Amino acid sequence: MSDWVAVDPSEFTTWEKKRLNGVMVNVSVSPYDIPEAVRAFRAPNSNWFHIQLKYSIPEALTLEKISSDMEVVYGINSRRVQEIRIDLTHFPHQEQAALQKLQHAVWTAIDYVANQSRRSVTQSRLGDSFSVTKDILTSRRNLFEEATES
Amino acid sequence: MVGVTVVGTSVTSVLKVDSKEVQLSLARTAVTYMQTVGWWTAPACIALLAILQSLTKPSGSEAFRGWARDIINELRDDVFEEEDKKAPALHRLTLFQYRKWSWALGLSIRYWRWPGSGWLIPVERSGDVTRRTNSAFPAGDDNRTAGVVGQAWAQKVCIYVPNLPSIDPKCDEAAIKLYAQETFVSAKWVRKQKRRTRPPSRSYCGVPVEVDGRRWGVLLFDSCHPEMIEKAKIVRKCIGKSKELAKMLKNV
Repeated sequence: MSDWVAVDPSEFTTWEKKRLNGVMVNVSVSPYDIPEAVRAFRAPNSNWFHIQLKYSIPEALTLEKISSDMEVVYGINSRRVQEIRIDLTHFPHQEQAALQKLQHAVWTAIDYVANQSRRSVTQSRLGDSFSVTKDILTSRRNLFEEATES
Repeated sequence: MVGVTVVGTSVTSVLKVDSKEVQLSLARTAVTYMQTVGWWTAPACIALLAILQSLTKPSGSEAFRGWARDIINELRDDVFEEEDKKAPALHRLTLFQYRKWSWALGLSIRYWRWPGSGWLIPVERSGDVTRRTNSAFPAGDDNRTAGVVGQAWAQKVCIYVPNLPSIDPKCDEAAIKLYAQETFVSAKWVRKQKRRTRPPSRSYCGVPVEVDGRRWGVLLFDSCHPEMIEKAKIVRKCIGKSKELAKMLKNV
């Protein structure tokens, strides 16, 4: 199992100008949406690949099976993605193709939770945790590479 | 509790008075009437007063409020510049709690809004000078969310509004309207603030607060400077304090 890699919050706490109810305001992500650390690993003697995100505040989690080879664990209240599990049994043998399929699977899992979350709120919001999760995983692609190599 | 005791004692005293000894006829009629219906009006008045007091009472025990004050003062000192720390009334931090129901606010003339439509109520504020505040804001998933604090709550993001016009007794109506629009409040609210000793702040920053993954409330930084110099620090410092804050708020 790999070690946690700390996330530097300053990378994701930039302020963007956005329009809100006709007024230009500066917006930044909620402090709770930035994970403290992230890790990816292939479970020993198993074909399951895990991507985990650790947040500062613990909360009750739920596990949902998206397809036969994909599971996602997220916060019941916040809907923040905490873990993505992917079965690599039917993945291509070529490293590049496997990596592409892996990234596609990760994005599918995040979008699945994001769509569920959007359905549960009555009005659209300026920010969500899903874009932060994607940004963090995009900037740490090497985590996937290390995990698929091992 | 003092109010309940005073009313209880007064009503009990009236019930014991001999109405024939009361000189004024109007007072005699009132005493006689109270003695006739006193068996149920006295306990009802005391119960109603106790309910009203509990509705308007700030949440949390004294210990919680002390703890909250310490965390808020620390966070404020971390964010604002050394020079600003010397003027705590001008550069503040307020903790607002979301409550679905508030009969006291909903029924007040100031808001006149359905009591169960959501409110952000001030729980604690930094410093010693302007700690007492009754600036509550409507906050719901409807479009009637008000203030920077309300928008930070509804949008679940940090919102920073700098360079607001100066609101002083000499400012014109255009400045009032601009201030109201940029801070998501009514012009009437700004006009009211204009009459106060402390002028309204020139910049605000709202940071959502969560407990167990649920929105709990908002931390609102406000400053008399047009720009908060340490704005970039705010989110980072709030991340640092989030664990401590969540641990404390979980027990409220």
